[in-house]
Parts: sequence; C-alpha cells; structure tokens
Amino acid sequence: MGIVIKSSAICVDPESNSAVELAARAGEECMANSGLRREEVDLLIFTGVFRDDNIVEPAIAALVQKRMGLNTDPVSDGNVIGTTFSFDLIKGRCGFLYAAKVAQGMIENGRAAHALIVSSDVHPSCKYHPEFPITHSGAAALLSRTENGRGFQKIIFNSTTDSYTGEIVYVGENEGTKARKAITIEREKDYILRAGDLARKTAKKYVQGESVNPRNVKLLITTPHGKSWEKDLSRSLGMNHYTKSVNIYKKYGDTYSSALIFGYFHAVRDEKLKEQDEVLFVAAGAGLSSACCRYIV
Amino acid sequence: MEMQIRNENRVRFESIGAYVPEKIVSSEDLINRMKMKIDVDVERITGIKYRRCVSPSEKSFNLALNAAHECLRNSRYTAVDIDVIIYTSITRSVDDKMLQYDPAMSQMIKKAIGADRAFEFDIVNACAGMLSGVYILESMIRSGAVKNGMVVSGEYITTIADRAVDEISEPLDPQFASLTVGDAGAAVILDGDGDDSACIDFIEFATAAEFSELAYGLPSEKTAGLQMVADSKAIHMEVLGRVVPLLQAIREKYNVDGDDYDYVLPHQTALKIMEVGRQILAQHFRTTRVATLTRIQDFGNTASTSHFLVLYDHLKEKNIPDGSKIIFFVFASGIQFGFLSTKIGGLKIKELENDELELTEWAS
Repeated sequence: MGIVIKSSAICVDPESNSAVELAARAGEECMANSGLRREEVDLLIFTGVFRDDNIVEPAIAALVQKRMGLNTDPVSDGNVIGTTFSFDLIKGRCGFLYAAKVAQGMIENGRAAHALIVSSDVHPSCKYHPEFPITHSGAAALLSRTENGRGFQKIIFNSTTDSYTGEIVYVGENEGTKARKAITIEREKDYILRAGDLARKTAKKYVQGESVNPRNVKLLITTPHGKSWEKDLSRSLGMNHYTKSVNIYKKYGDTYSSALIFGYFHAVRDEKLKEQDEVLFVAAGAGLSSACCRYIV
Repeated sequence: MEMQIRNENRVRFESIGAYVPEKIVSSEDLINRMKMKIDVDVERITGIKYRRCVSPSEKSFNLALNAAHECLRNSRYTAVDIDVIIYTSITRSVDDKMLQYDPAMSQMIKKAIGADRAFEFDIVNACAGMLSGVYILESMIRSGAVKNGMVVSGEYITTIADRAVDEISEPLDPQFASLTVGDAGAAVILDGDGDDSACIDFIEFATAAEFSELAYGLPSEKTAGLQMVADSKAIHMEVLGRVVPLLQAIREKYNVDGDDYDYVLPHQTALKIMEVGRQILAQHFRTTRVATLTRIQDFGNTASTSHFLVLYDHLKEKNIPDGSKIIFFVFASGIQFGFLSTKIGGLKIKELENDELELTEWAS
C-alpha cells in the first residue's frame, strides 16, 4: 500500500494576502479537482511558515478547516457524524515532504483515508510589502491510499547537525507592540550555495541508495532558490539530458513552503507527466534541512 | 469506513522527562501585580495556588531542552539512537527571538542533544500539541517507518499571563484564562516494544473547527509579548458537551467499559472542570474507581506540556504503580478533542546519582 497525489491546486491572487484564505482557496480547488466530497477528508495538515498576525494558536489548519467546511462540527444531535483532525507542521521549505511522511503513517494505519496538505505564506501584516521576498501564495495536495505501488516511494530526510543554519525566519523580541505585523528573515551570504550542496548530497544519496536510474526520472521538482537552481541540481545529478525540470521561480518568485506543490501542479497542468512517469522531489531550506523522494505518477 | 489495519508494532511510552523553572509565583502575587485592581480570586475559581515562571534567560527552547535531557536520562536510549524528534509547543522563543519559525525548533533540539541520526519536524496544535505529536509518532512506529522517537515541548507561556496582568480591565475579560498558565518543558520517548504490560491502546482526535475562532493566541498590540483572548464561556457552554458523544463512539469502537481505568489525566485547566470531566468519564465508561491525576495546584496550566508534566511528577513520587491504566483527555483551541488510552509499565524516573546531585547543588 502507498499514497498518491489525487489532485493538486495553487492560489496566487494580488487581492488575497491572508495565509488562511490562500490555503483554503487552494484547498477548495484541490477538492473540486479530486472528485471527492469534502466530508471524506479526515486529515488536514497545514505546512506554511509565514502566517496572518503571527498567530500561535489555534493551528492555522483549524482556521482553514473552518473556512473550507471540512467536518467542522464532529457532533450533530448528539451523534458523531464525521471527523477531521487538523494541525500545523512546520519544517520550512521541506514541509510538504514531511507532511507526506506523516500522512503515509496515518493512512497506512487506517487512521485516515484522505489527507489534504495545504500550505501558504504571507507577510504577517496581511498586506503587500515591496521588500518582503516571499510571494504571497497558497497550495494544496490531496493524498489518498493506493494499492498499485505508485505515488510516493521512500521519503528521506537529511538535516545538518552543526551550528550553521543559513537562514533564520523569526519575530524579534525587540519588535515590542509591533510584533503582530513584524517578521525578520536573515540569510547568510553563502546560504544558497550551501543549501544547494546539501540538496545535491541528499539527492545523490537517494539515487544511489534507492537504485534510481537517472535516465528514468522524467521530471525534477525542487524548492528553487534562484533562477538556475534546478538546472544546476539536475546537471550535477547527471540528469539534464533525460530529465525535465520545472522552474517555478521564474514565474512566481519564492513560494517558500508551497514550492513543491507549485512544481507538481504545473507539471500536471502542462501535461508534462503521464502514467508511470517518475518524478524526483528534492527540497532544501533553513537549518540546513533537506528531503528527497521518488514519486511514480 | 472499515480499513485493514497493519498493526505490527505495539507502541509504548518508554521514558519521560519534565522540567520546571525555579521561580514560584502565587496566584495572589499575580493578582496583586495587576494594573487594574479587580475583585477576582483565581485560586478559588481554578484551584491554582502557584505556577512556575522562567528566569529572564530561559525561553521555550531551554525548557524543552532540559526536559529532553531528563527524558534521555530516564531512557535506555541515547541521543544517537533516536529516529525522529517532534517538537510541539505553542510558544517558540529562543534567545532574543519571540517566535522562531525556521529553522524548525525540532532541529535546534536535535543539534543540542546530539541526535545526529534523527529526522525532525515541528507540530503546532495549541495545547493539544504534545498529544498530537504522540499520535503522529505512534502511527509512524506502528507502520514501521521508525523504531522510536521523541516528542518534546517547551512552553514559556507565562508571557500571556503577563499580558493579562498588564491589560485586563474587567473580571470577565477575554484574557482571564491567561492567568492560569505556568511555564514548563516535557518530553517523552516512544518505541515499538510495547506488550500486554505496557502499551498504548488507542488514540483518537477530532477538530471541531466550527469553533476555531473562539480562542486566539498572538502578539499583543498593547504591551510587548504574546496574549491569548478566549471566549471561555462559549467554549465551555457550547462546545465542551461534545465530549460525551465522542466518548460514547470511542467506547463502542474499542469496546472499553466497566472499571477499565485507574486514572484520568485531563488537560490541566481548572479543578472544577477536571472534576466534571472525571464524572462524565465515570458515567459513560461506567467506571467507579477512576481517579484524576493533577498537579494544577502547584504548576497551573502548562499548555501543551501539561499532561506529561503531571505524569512525570506522579511517577517521580511513585504514585502510579506499573500496570495502571490511564486515559488522557485534551480539550484545546481549534477546538481539539483528543483521547489517549494506555497501560503504563516500566516507566521510571531514575534517582539522581551522587555526582549529578552535587552538580545540581553546585549549579543552583
């Protein structure tokens, strides 16, 4: 048994600057594309990093669940009528693959049949900020069980143990009464380079460890940190002659926690993928942290 | 929908650790510090006499790290044996950062304890965070994805009590519940070596998101720090009652009944509410002898760490014999309903060695 992406969706709208709204709109479109009823979603995981008003509770997932109307009240007339369990998972740019791992465990144990993973990132002021380097964006992917061996194969994670973090996203104590609308992103000068190195190392380890034939990989989907990031990665894995890659960065800029779903969504929409095609997801970000997974369409 | 369940590994709590800061603040002290003098008796309403508060240098991260070390001290595993670390607090303060989002706090813990083999991620789910993390980890162990893992949380949550002290203007103020909180860290290690003598039986969660907007925690715009605003009356009057049908459904699903439980371990909100919870359980599970585990008098509500701080403290005092059966309840912003049933065995808090004692005395 495995898990497969049943449908996906993205949301970018200059009029929409709320993480809850962007995630919920992507989630709604994803559900519409899936053919499932919303009551069938029994697990909802939000993996965004930058959120409205720097809310610490409730989970943003609960606010998205409410907005989407997913089993929002488990009890009616004294009876349990259907439940959804929702929570947030924070793991920066790699969140989607960690959420897929969590969903895998839950679905394999029969705790859930369908898991909706949503993500979004906005400036906490919920307004457009010209100097904010992240694109206000949301994405969603619906994961369901499959018996045919397709979908997510082994997911591996690789994060560093030394003190270097590369990038830090935080709200400083010194923001005082402005903290609700404040956010700081600090980047080391060599962050992109070192995150790229880690992504490459992790992908190489995966390709070797899981006996992946680079010739069979149809598409490379990454968390791009620049305009040529995915080309460099693809070249270093020896894939460029056989493998296409999606560059989300050129079109959308930095979609942070949503980048992998953006890449997958575009590949499907642009008909770059057909059944049995192999995709390699490679994510890297602050920490440093990375994740890699082969996916069979 | 009935699904085939793969159930190769039985999961148990292998070890537990907790940490509270030294500074003790009484409810009376807190009320006396309030800017607006109001006639409200927190101790009488909630049963909370004291809570612990961090020193200026202690943050969420330090509380979690101390708990993680204590958990490892009580474990047969060392840090490098750990497969996964799940960090689960509401508050996310480190050094001069009020909230750190990325890198994840779990990676900071991994680096600090030297769990070099582990992968790690953060789960945020209000006061249900730690139990949500346990649920996720238990699924991963059962499915064979990992052999063991640590769920850890640190809550420098008295920042919301300080906001209440500074900002409350009336007895029914939406920040009133913030006066009940205390700071703490907690950690548990789970593994797949459970058996009839120690094993998690089931975990169930449901999110009543219809009521997700009844309680918010976020940075205050009046005074510096985090605040929590909650419509406590609506939460208790309109939402809490759903626990009864949820419990009935669980009773039928898992065939639990009669005197199955020795203890109920509720989220530590207020003595009266916990007693209502115990009575509901006694009535609907038809169990007569079940006793409530609490340390709310001394620690208050320590947010996501509350269940495991209480369990740790009772184990330390050898109040809970091996073979005891416990049901955990959580009722948290979201609104989250969570239930965990387990038999406890072999979960020990080691006595401090002589040299450790000396070190502690020297350090204090």
